[in-house]
Amino acid sequence: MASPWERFFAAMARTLAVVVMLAPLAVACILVTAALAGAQRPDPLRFVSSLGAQMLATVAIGSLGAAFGVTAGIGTAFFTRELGAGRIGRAIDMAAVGLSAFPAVVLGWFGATIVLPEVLGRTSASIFFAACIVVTLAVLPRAYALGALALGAITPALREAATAAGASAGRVSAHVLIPAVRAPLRGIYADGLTRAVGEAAGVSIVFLAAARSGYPVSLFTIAGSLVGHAQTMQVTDAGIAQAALVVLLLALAAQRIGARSGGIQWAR
Amino acid sequence: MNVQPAGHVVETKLEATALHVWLGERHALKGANISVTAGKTVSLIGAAGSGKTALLRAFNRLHDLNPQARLQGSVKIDGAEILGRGIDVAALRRRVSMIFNAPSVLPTSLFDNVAFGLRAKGIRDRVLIAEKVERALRRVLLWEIASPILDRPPDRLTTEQLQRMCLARALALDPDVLLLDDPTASLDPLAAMAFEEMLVPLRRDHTVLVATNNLEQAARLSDSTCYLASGEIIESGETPLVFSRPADARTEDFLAGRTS
Amino acid sequence: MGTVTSAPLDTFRPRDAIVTALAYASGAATAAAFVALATAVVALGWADLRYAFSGPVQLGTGLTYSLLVVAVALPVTMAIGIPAAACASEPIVGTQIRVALLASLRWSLGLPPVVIGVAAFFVAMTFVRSAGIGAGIAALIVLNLSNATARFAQAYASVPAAAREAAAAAGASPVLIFFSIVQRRAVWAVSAATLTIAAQMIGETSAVLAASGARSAQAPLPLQIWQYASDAGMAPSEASSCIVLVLSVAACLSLARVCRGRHRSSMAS
Repeated sequence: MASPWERFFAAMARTLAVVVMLAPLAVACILVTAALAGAQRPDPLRFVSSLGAQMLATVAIGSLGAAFGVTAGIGTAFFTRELGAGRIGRAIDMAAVGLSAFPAVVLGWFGATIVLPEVLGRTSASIFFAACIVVTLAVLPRAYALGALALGAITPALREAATAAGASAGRVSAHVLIPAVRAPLRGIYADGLTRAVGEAAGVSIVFLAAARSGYPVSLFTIAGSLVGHAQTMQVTDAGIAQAALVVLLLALAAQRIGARSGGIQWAR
Repeated sequence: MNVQPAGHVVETKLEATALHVWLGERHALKGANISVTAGKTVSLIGAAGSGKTALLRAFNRLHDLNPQARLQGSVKIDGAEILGRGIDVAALRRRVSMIFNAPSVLPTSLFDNVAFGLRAKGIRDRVLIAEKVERALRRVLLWEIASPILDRPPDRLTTEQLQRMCLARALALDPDVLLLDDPTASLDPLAAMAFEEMLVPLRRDHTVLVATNNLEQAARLSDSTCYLASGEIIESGETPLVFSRPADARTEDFLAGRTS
Repeated sequence: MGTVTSAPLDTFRPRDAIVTALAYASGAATAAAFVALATAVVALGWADLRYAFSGPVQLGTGLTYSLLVVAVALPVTMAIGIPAAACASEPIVGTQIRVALLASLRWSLGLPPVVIGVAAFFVAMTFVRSAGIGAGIAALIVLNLSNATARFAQAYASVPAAAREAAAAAGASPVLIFFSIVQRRAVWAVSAATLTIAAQMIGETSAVLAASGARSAQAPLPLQIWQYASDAGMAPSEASSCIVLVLSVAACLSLARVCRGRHRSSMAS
């Protein structure tokens, strides 16, 4: 029979596994409780009163960021793994891996300091596009890593069979590899959308910087304004919890799509 | 199906009755009945996927490691049921040791590889462990090669020597039963022959159940042979009889290399 | 029954060209993005790097707080995540909980950090009437529990089943197998996972921002960058902070990469 120490470890492991399972549920319960209770007060960013508009901005920025970021990430994976061998391929691989070392807040700083004033100019649309660029940069390295993983999982025999039939690397990619990784690719897009919707730090920097610099700001993303709100509010506000629940639901919906697509490992 | 001729009073070591094994959706073993006499060597032959390994793993409950595996029926050792709850599975596996089709080297020194089961059993006496390790390595004819490198990882050994080391790990526990899952599958013909020769004297001290794809090996090693196909035991009996006069046409086809 | 009225269009070549062009364009865009980011950060921040440690941004303090946050959050996350991962990767340890845990991990890995940060903010405001860095650390732990468990479980799952079976066949108990075989063989993979989580914690902002209210002057590095990001005059000092933050994250990720390589070679041998 197992020793007392082994029985203790097994019992402790199971208890901690339950803790891990309950943690996200506890978060959801706290938000639901807070959304139903607490004082409802408008805040300087007016996100409670314009939740619909913010939801639109969240989905639009998230979708565009995910579409561009994931496409670029997967395309880069095809380039480095299938088409662009040699030094250039290795250099671009290093660039894509290097991008993952830039935290969201640095990307937001880049968007607010470089992209917004220097590149796009002082219009309402420029804030939107700067936010999209920030989300694109945030999503790209992860999509690259997942794309490379999906391509790496394909058996070399498949490539060899297609190449032996006279196909070029481009043709193998277009007609053999893309169909082979279709399910993971769908999963990577859904994953990108999940992350893009919840992306807060980078996007909030862009919007707050724009607001403080006197840009015409009409929209915020929900996640971004939640972070901005935290800086200004001293007391709990039911609107924050309601907005957080909306972000949670959007992320879960995107995740559900990804889970249905299957084929990728979900890790933050 | 009993591998013993009817009428003989024998000590049954292993017994499976109406044993079904499901591995996920696959019904790997379909109502197998087999009993193995103590001290005898029984070969399990059959095509890949016929259920040989599924049957072997039922005798030391290695299916427990696979969450998708489901067993139904009865498996007894020395007349005691082993499939139920409350069985000390670790102790069972020390009595019913197993080696696999490829050497499974643990991430430690050669000595610790062989001593692993002894330590898992709770033995702390270093002298006793050293004695048992030496004895086990001598029984698998590896002591001369292994003794200078006992404290190093066994990465210098050949595949056949590694497989002997795995067998030594099993023998160090003085098991009643040895389960050999195609033990020469990863060896070249000469190494396989050497390994097989080393197995011959061990048969005297243990009940051996060997799954093999090598028909000649089955004929040479075993007292009885059991032919499986598609998860069913088709025929079993004394090895010379099964090989020379198979009762079932499917066995005959398999032995002749014909697809039935 | 339909009839074929014309030969199907040859879509073979256009698709080749589109995929190839897209892959090349993506590669170029990725390289351009990296160069633009790195150039912007280095060009603006390099000169101010020395000054930033003593200036108003208090880079040294920010870095210290960043490391402090990780020093508290990472061990707690590991202490919970590693036994939980044993449940996820070892069926006999996890028993019936394993299936539920795996399902829970699949669902909870995509939780937006800001959502967890807001929940921590509410709890802090309700019970201690103020949000602060402590709430941020708590949010970081909750945020990374599923992530860490999944990463550790993945590391343990990379140990071949044959090693577990060999140990089990020698009579080892599930817990002994976990500690003497799985942990030992997965040590590099676990190190890689730990370093990756540390990198995420260093760079993670949303959860800490939302939970702490982002008001503290003595705040982790990402939080400081966030606070001053909209001040154009602070751009060079901000860039210096970005250099230090990116280098810290990159160091962790590079070490993680080395560990992953070691794990792969140890698995291959």
